[in-house]
Amino acid sequence: MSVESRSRQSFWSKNIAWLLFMPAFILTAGILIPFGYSVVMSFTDFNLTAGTSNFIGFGNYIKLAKDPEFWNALKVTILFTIGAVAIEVGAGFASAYLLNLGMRGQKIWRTLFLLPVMLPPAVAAIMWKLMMAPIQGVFNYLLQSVGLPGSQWLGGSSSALFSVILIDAYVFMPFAGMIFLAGVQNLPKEPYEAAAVDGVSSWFTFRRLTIPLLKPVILIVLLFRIMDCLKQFDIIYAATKGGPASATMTISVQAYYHSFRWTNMGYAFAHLVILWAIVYALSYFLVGQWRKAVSEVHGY
Amino acid sequence: MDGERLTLGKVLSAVGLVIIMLWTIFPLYWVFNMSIQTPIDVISYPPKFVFDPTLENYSVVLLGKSWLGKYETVQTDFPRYFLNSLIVCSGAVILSMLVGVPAAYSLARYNFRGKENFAFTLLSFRFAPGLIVIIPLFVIFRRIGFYGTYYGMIFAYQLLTLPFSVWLMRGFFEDIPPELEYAARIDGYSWWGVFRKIDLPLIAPGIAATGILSFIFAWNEFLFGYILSSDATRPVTPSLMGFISYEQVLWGQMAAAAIITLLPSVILAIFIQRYLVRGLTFGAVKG
Amino acid sequence: MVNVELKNVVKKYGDLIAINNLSFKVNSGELMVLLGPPGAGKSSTLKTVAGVEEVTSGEILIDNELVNNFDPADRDVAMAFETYALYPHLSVFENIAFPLRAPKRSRLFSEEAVKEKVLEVARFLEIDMLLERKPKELSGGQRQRVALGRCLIRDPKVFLLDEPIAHLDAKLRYRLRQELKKWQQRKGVTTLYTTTDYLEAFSVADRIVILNKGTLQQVGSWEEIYNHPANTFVGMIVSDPPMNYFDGKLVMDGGKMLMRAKGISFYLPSLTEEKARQMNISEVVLGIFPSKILMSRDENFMPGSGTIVDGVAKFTELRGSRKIVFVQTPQDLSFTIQLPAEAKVQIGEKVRCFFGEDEVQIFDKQSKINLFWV
Ligand SMILES: Nc1ncnc2c1ncn2[C@@H]1O[C@H](COP(=O)(O)OP(=O)(O)OP(=O)(O)O)[C@@H](O)[C@H]1O
Ligand SMILES: [Mg+2]
Repeated sequence: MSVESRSRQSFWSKNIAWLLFMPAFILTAGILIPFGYSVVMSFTDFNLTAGTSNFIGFGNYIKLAKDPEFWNALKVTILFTIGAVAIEVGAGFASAYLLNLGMRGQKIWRTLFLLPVMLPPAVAAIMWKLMMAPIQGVFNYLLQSVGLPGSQWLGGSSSALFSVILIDAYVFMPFAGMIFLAGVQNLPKEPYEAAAVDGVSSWFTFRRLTIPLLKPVILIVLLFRIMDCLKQFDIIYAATKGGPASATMTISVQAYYHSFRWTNMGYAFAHLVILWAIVYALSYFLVGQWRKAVSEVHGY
Repeated sequence: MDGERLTLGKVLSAVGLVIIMLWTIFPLYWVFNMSIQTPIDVISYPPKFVFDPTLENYSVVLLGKSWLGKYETVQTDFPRYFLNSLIVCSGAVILSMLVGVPAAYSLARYNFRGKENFAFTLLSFRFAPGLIVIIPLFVIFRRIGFYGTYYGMIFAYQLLTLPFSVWLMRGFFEDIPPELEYAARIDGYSWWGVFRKIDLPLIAPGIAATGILSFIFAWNEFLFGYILSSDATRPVTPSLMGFISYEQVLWGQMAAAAIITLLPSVILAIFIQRYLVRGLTFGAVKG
Repeated sequence: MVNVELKNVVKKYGDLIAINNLSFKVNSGELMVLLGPPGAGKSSTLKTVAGVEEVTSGEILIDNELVNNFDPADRDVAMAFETYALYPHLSVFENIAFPLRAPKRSRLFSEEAVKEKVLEVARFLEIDMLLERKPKELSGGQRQRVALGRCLIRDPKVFLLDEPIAHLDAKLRYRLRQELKKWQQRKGVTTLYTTTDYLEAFSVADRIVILNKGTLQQVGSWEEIYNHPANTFVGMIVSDPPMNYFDGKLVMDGGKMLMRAKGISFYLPSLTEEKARQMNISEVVLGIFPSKILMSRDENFMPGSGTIVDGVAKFTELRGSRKIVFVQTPQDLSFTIQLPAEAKVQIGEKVRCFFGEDEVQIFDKQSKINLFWV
């Protein structure tokens, strides 16, 4: 064996870390271009049909601040997020509890429970749209057959938002549920045995032991669900296209209309940059909280 | 112990479980039901739970023929959409794996400047609103002639699957103690030999799970396909929007199309159930 | 034959200095034990010799050849990892055979030869009935033996054994440490061996390197270390219970140097005295191993010329074949003594202790260095 072949602190081995990472870096850096484009273009009056774009400074943002439709979209986005996340977390927690009781057929229940998570959200929305049809839909039929009044569901200006929240909850409640379930199953046994030996009440154990230990998992569910709800597009667009009359018009859908229907791209970008800023700030905060919770749990 | 209360608790739990199962299963059951009804049955009121099943909707959707027999139908290119989805999703997944495995390995095993920053930037794209990336891509693609091409779509879809794959596989690599690699190096294997004999066999299930999950995400994606594809390259999931305009008359076919579209995702997901929690949380929760 | 030499090796993990300017040489065929408490840098040293961790600075020579830039695969060393590092997807058999199947060796061994060698090693380690199992189906001690087997199956230039028998049951540990030594001698392979157990170190080592916080404390044979521990740290870790320490003062008394501690005083041997003078030391620490102190309940006990200390047995503790006695004197000096288990002592009883002055180690109080080595 020659000395050369044995001492190969060559270019390859010195830079191996970067060489392996480089291709992925280049491909994903591709995302920065459109991203930067959006931010820059939000300061212009870029119009797709006219093909013109002039720098107008904060013009789009000033316009946004005065645009009642934007404020409505913001309100709808927040209501949608609060409603969907509340249902998903609450029902998810209850499901995790029930699926962890060790009832017979548990494995099958868990598998069936997971199914909606893997549905294409847009397809799930279409499925529910079929069932929520006001005249021939099965939901109204079921309601009426137990003597309750039917609903306009997606078609009613007061019921539409709740209806899309239900659809989002249908798809993503199992997401919350299965993560809570994983968290519950990963709980250490010893502290509970110790608490049982100490004769502590189960409510106390739940509040002082289970909740703090599950905090990282709860924060992960909140992180993913809040972020996804704030930017949810597929479900709302497939179910209502923002209607009726802006009842489900979130910022994302509004931005879609501004860009592809009305071709004032600059204004659409301003919507998206604002939405992105909100999402980013929140995710930054939640990721920080999550890290803190993780280190607290490991410090136990 | 109080036997009475125990039974009550059990009954309540069982009722709760039944409610949850109804909530998850009923929509799937009902849409499947609609998909095997004739156009007459499907719009009948009250809705029919018992009827003569038919596979007509499926044959119409799958064969993609304009079928002007007894009932009104519309011509769809469903088989073509299906093929488009396969091409675009497989392309994105293969690209993500080819490029993602080395990158994940690098992140897991080496320390280099800016590593964590870059890794977190990757993650933060997961939380960016899709349109902020898609609209510029649409504009740029139109200009450079990528709009509506498979290349363009694969590039766009890998923006979704690559960061996800890198993050998830980094976790899988980190599950392999570096000492295993050290030991194998000392045992006389080259870097590549170690990767092939130790890392690959150990991470193979993780790579498979990551690939399948990426495929599902790509398959389920609506917005990217809806905006960046032309008629010829439209994937299935966005193509379903095409049915909506005909919803009054085409419920059965729409249901059939929905069932066909969701089937691949659901079947694949059952295979990798074990990795779902980990996958859906980008590795943050190890299920 | 192969020697191994470290020259001024430094290993840092970020800001943490795991090995601090370490130099020593292992002679051909020698079994060198690295002894030190957890975190001393023993594993780090072996890893840098193996080449799986790069040194921050310094040189590593194997067979008089600088190997700093060699790949681990090209250094021809075999290592048993403290954490075992078993390949989870391979059976015990394949784990042990793994080094023989490396591309560079696979031509040398037929499948038959591999089988034979694996069986030989497995029998030696008493794991021949486990060959079909996967690592996760093994107990900790069994895993450790597989790790050892993967190492012993080779004929490398150097064995690197990182606490190779730490997790075995006591009986097997005693047997294996002797057998390992024999195996190593028969093969004549230069070996670096780590442990935290000084008895194990003394029993297998040709020579011992004592490490603390990455810094070399002493290199030498068992006798050299035990007779003249280089500093108070060494005295502490090569004895259990640790060496007894008393603060003392050196004073001039009629031209000779007198050592004074609480209730003890004696003249320094001339060699020590000279060193103390040279260094101008007056504050010292006396050290004496518990095994070097004699004790009797007889008030007139006087086995020879030496120092007598009277005290009270405060409590006793039985440790296997030894009895440890804690003694306190009226002058508030306390120390431990090691006696045979049969020795009869009552708690609270007056006892007379004796030690020869040549058994006392004298350390500089400031640097904690044994004056013998100055
Ligand atoms: N990969 C690493 N990264 C950072 N610090 C490390 C690493 N490996 C070891 N260290 C640190 O280096 C020091 C020496 O560690 P080393 O493992 O060599 O000790 P050791 O003597 O083998 O201890 P033990 O008896 O516990 O095995 C320790 O303080 C340890 O925390
Ligand atoms: Mg160690």
